[in-house]
This record gives sequence, structure tokens and C-alpha cells, in this order.
Amino acid sequence: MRITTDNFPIYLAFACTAVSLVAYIVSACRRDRGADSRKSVWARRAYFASVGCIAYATIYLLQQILSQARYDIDYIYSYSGPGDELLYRVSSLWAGQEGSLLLWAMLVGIVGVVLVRRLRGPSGAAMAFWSTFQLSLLILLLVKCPFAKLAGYQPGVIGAGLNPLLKNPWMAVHPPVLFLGYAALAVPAAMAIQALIEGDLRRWAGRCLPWALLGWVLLGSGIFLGMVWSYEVTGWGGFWGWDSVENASLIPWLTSTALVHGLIVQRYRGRMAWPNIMLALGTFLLVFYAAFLTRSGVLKDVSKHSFAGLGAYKPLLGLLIFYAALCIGLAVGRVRSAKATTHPLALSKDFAVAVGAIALVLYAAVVLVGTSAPLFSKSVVAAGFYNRMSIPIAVAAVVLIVLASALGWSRSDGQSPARHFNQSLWKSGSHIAHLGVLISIVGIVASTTGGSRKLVLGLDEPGRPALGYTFKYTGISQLAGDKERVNLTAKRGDLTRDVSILIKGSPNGTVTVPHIVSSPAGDLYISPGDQPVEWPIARPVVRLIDGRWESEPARIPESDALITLTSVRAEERSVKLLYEAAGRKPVEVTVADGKPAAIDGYELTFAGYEQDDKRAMSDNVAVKIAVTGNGLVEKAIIEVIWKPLIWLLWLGLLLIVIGGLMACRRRFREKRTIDDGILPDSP
Amino acid sequence: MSKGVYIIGAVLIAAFVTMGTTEFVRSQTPYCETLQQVKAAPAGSVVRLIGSLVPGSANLTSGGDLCFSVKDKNSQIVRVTYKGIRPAGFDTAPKLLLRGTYGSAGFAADDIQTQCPSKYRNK
Repeated sequence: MRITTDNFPIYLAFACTAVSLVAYIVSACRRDRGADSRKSVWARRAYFASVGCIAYATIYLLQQILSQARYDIDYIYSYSGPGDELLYRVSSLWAGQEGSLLLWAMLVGIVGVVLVRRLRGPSGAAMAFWSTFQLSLLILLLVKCPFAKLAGYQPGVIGAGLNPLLKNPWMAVHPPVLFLGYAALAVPAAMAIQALIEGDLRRWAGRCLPWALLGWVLLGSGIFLGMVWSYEVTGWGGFWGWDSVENASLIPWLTSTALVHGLIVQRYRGRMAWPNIMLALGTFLLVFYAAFLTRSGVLKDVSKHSFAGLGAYKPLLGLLIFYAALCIGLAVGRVRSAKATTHPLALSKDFAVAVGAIALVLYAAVVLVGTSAPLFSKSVVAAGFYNRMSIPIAVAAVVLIVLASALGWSRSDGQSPARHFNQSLWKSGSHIAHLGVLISIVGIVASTTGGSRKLVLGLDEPGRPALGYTFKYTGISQLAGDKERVNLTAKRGDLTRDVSILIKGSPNGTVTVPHIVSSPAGDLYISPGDQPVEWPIARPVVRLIDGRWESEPARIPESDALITLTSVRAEERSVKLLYEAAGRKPVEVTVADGKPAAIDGYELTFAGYEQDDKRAMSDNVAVKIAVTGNGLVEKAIIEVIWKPLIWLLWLGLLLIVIGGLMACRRRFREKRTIDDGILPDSP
Repeated sequence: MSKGVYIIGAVLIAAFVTMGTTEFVRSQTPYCETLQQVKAAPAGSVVRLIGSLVPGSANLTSGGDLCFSVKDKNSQIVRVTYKGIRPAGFDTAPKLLLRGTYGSAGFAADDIQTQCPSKYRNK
């Protein structure tokens, strides 16, 4: 790629990161004392400069998006437009492959700056690893540069804007939180490498725990935000589809959950040092594996989320192999020399926590194998596999959480869990998070016990019963701002509710918003699908076959009469149709935009082309002819789903995040004393 | 900790792994990029078909089922019926991922997935 003023900061960031990497490696080899050595100072300066360049590139891209003056940049043209609100112009920064990579690189840079300032003692190996990580992202950014020029750009071209499905507050914040979680989860890996090289695993667990917790809670929050978006926006009535790309983020979250538990056991009992090292490195590898699955295009035919092959397959695969070799090589080569204190394991809270960590790793392995199936066999694993395998894990989680809360830590301090809980509100984060897990499990199980039913409702026809309600379609209303509202009523006993489905138009498509009626008993979810109202429409087609136009007739809905296109005047939005019905002579009628034709009791109205005008003029022209009269009416097609107690799931997830953040605060405060060489007694 | 606990743990893990292996084999659904591959699958078996919607082909049957045509990568067209509602992005998604069975009446889908909006590009 040619260096331009737009992409120059990325090249500069690459060079600075490479300098910092070399300086940190030299520093690590000489075992320099981080803050004091000259090599470390240079490494740090180069690293800060690289982060500055990435931040500049990010802000510059954002500024160009907001200015709406640079549609010559492919990324800006593809993901933003003048009609987008400010929030969605900002979020278009991370709406696509290249922008989200830049965001990830910037967040890694920021976390790295915090890490540099927080790490005490020798940190060359950790920061060398961190610089390598940042360098990897910059390589990907050079391959998939967000500043690449739009091919065939003509002055005056503007972007169509962000996809309407992404214009949602949950989706606006989902990627930054997720990527911040990914960035934070690389810290335990960096610290693990430092600990392996130093051969001291004792203090490692205490230093690593707050970062592991932070990464865990952020990645979890990102996943949860995606679940809420999926439920509220996509209209299928679910929150987790077991899609490969969804799973790709779940797997490192599961292993990071195991890591957090393992670190707690290691910190207080000295056990699980080796598994924790493997979990820290494994979680990092799984984060990179998630990037590989999502961005390389390997799942483009089996996943609804995966980016298509965008030229990043080889660099991603190469980097994945490099990190796997680095992590496994270091772990195998150094872990035997690493010493950690151990205590005998008794039936105690730490035993339950350790067993829970094993269960989480097993669960992660199940999801990993299922998700990776398309890579080694030409098949996809059905969602039922994951659902059935989740049952024993959910049972184990409930048993272990209850068991762990009933047992004390296997140390002779005589303190019960209840006393820990009462000591300080900030120390109850773990209890709140585990309560959240239990409540979430109840919410998930309960929400799957409701039913669903598809309804086809004719305009003003008598209501149809479903799930205890009687539904009726009363028409469609035009609203301001290219919006429409599909009006329905849901009657139960004497109570009649208005149900409205909003259809939002935009230059690059429409989006339908499901209607959710929430109550303490659960949600009544009205799913509109992609097109909630079907008009009686006939679609005659003409196709260009071997240089000749051939017409394909269309049937008038609910009758045997046929209409065939005999002439199309695209510019005038006018067509000629041959009307054929049994027992009468064929008749040619002209139907134009705003000028319907009447025949045999039907009114035929021009309703546009099937595609936009530009595509309609290709070799396949489908014309929409709306048909009314003779009892034909428009129909609303909806799916009604009952989701019992689903609010328990959202409450549970909220508690997990709150508990996780409280635990983070506590562990970061404790880390200061650990850095000073003091291990706190109380778990 | 007695050896019994370790034995129970090993048995539970072995049971979980056995269950996982069995379920994995049972749950695999082959995915096909061409109609030819779909037809070659054992009769009545569930497969996934990847294809693009033929513009203008979607309509409702008198029973309320969704009926549409899908073009595979060799431009072969198959008629698809689906009892559910049109999923979000049905008309604009570059590809549809269908799961179902193939028979004399065409492809009977029981699940339709459309690709994620973050993948779309407006050109």
C-alpha cells in the first residue's frame, strides 16, 4: 500500500512499535530494572510515541467521518452518510472490519500505557510481548487500512450511511467494550510470560488477578450488550444463536472466568500455578483465534456475522501460529523451573472453585470444538448440541456455587463466608456476581418454556387467537421521517393493547423494530420479520436470455388470472401488461406510477421495481403490481413469542457486571499492597 | 482429599467427554454450496444450503408459508418453502444460510440465517 498523508500515522506507529519491541527485548535480555535503565526509557518513549500515532490515526478518521467531506475514503463511504445522527456517525468508526481493527489497536495501546505505568520491577519481557501484540494489529491495519481510497470515486458521491440495524445504542457501545475486554485479557498473558521468564509465580497471581477480572468483566459486558441488541433489534426473539462468531467471543470469556477462579485459588492456596499460566496464555490465544474466525473469512459461508474474505486470512493465520508457538514454547520450556508454594487440597471453598474452573474449561472446549467444526469438516454443528451440552455445566455451576458458599476457605482463620460478606460491601462483589449467574440460569431456562406462533392477519379481518391473546391487524400509518407504523391490537379478556411495529426507512434499507410487551410474568414478543406487511402483489418478470428479452407471467393472488409484461418504460415508471383470464380474450393494459388500471374488478397499481431502479435495469427486471379489489386485502405476518421471566436473565447479567466491577475495584486496591510485597490474608 | 474424590471427578469428566462426542457426531449438519451437493445428500437428511435470494421470487402461499427461490454458486435455482416469517435482512443480505431438507417439492427450510449487517457494504 502506498504511503499517503492519511495512512502515514499507521506506518509511523508501526515503526515506533518495532523500535519499542527491540528495546524491550534488549531490556528483558539484560534483566534491566524497568523504570531505571536507559533501554527501558527508550523502549517506553518509542511505545508512547506509537500509541500517540495510533490515537492520532483514530481521531483523524473520526474527524473525517464527522466532517462528511471524505467519501473518497472507501471505509467512510461504506459505513457512514450525511443522514446519520451524531452517535451513529461516531459508531461508524468501528462498524466495519478496518475501523474496528483501528479501534482495537488504539485500546491495546491505551491499556499498554496503563500497564507501563503500573508494572513495577523488571517488565521488559511483558512489554516486549505487548509490543509484539500491538505490532500484530498494526500489520493487520496495513493489510486492511481504513484509509484505503474508494475505487472509481467521483466527486459528489456520498455514503448511504450506517446499516439501519446497527443504529441502536446497544450496538453503538458493544464493540468498544468488547475490544477493551480483549485488550485487557492480553495483560495476564503478558504477565504470565514475565513470570515464566522470572520463574516466580508467587506474586504473579496477585498482580494478574485484577487485570484478569477487568478483562473478564469488560468482555462479558460486551457479550451481554450484544445479547440485548440481538433480542431487542434483530426480531427473532432470542439472545444467543450459537453462531460461530458469537461463540468465538464466548470461548475466551469462559477461559478467563476459569482463570479468575484459578488465580484466586493460587493466591490463597498456592495451587493451580501451571493451569493458570496455561489459562492466561490460552485465553490470549483464543482472543486471537476469535479475531481469526471473525476476520479471515473462513466462516463466511456458515456464519451470519463473519466478515467475508477481506484479504486478511494469511496474516491472521500466520500471527495465530506465531503466538501459539510462542506461548506453548515458553510455557513448556519454563514452567518446570517455576516454583510455587502448595498446600494440600481439602473439601473446601477452594476445592469447589478449582472444580468450577475445570468445568468452565471443559465447557469452553465443547464450544471450541463445535465452533471449529467447519474448519476441519464440511459441516456445521446444530444449536441443539450446545444447548444439550450446557445442561450438565449449568447443573454443575449451581451445585458448585451453592457448595462454595456453604464451605469456608481451607485455612485456619476461622472466618465464615458470611463474615466475609459482612466485612465490607466492596468485598461482596463475588457474591453478587455468583448470585447473578444463578439468576441468569433461572432466566434462561424459564424463557425457553414459552411458546410461539406465526399469524397471518388480513386487514380488518376478525382477530386470531395466539398465546392467550386475540390479535387483529388494523392498518399501516405513515409517520414523519421516512417511518411507517404497522398497527395491531392484542386483546386479552377485557383489556385491549395497541401493538405497533415501527418500520424505519433509510437510504440503504429499512429496519423493522419488534414490539415487546414486558410484564413481571415475562415478555410478549411480537416479531415482525423483515417485512411485516404483505400486499397482494403480482411480480411479472422479464429476463434477458441469449440477447432476447423473455417475459415470465405472474399470477394475480388468489386467482387463476395471469399478467405478462409486454413493455417496460423504466424512466417513466410505466409498463404494459397482458391480462389473461379464463373465459375472456387477453387484454393489454397500461399501468404507470400514480395511474392504476382497472380490469375485471381488480385495480392494478404500479408499486415499483423489485430492486432499486439501477439494478432493475440489469438483465432481470421484476415489476411489482399491487392488486386490490375482489376481496384481496393486505396482510400482516407476525410471529408471537412468549418469553416467561426473561427479565431474570437481564437482571442476572447486570448483577454479574456489577459484582465483577466491585471485585475489580477491590483487587486493584489490593494489588498495591502486593506490589509492596505484602500478601493480604482474606480471600 | 481421598482418592475416591479424584475417581469420582475422573468418571464425571469421562462421562461429559463421552456425551460431548456423541452429541457432536449426532448434531453435525453438512453445508452445501451447490444444489448438486444438496441432491447428493441422503434423502430426508438435514443439510445447510448457502445461496442468494432471486430478486422478486418471494411470495406467500395461501397457507401463509413463505416461498422463494435461491440461486447457488453455480447459478442453479431451487424453490424454497419456509413456515416462519422473513428474518431481518432477508431481502438485502448478500447470502442466505438455509437449513432444511430437500425433496420433490424443493427445499423445505426450517431455519434461515441472514448475514450480519456489519458485513454489508453499500456498493
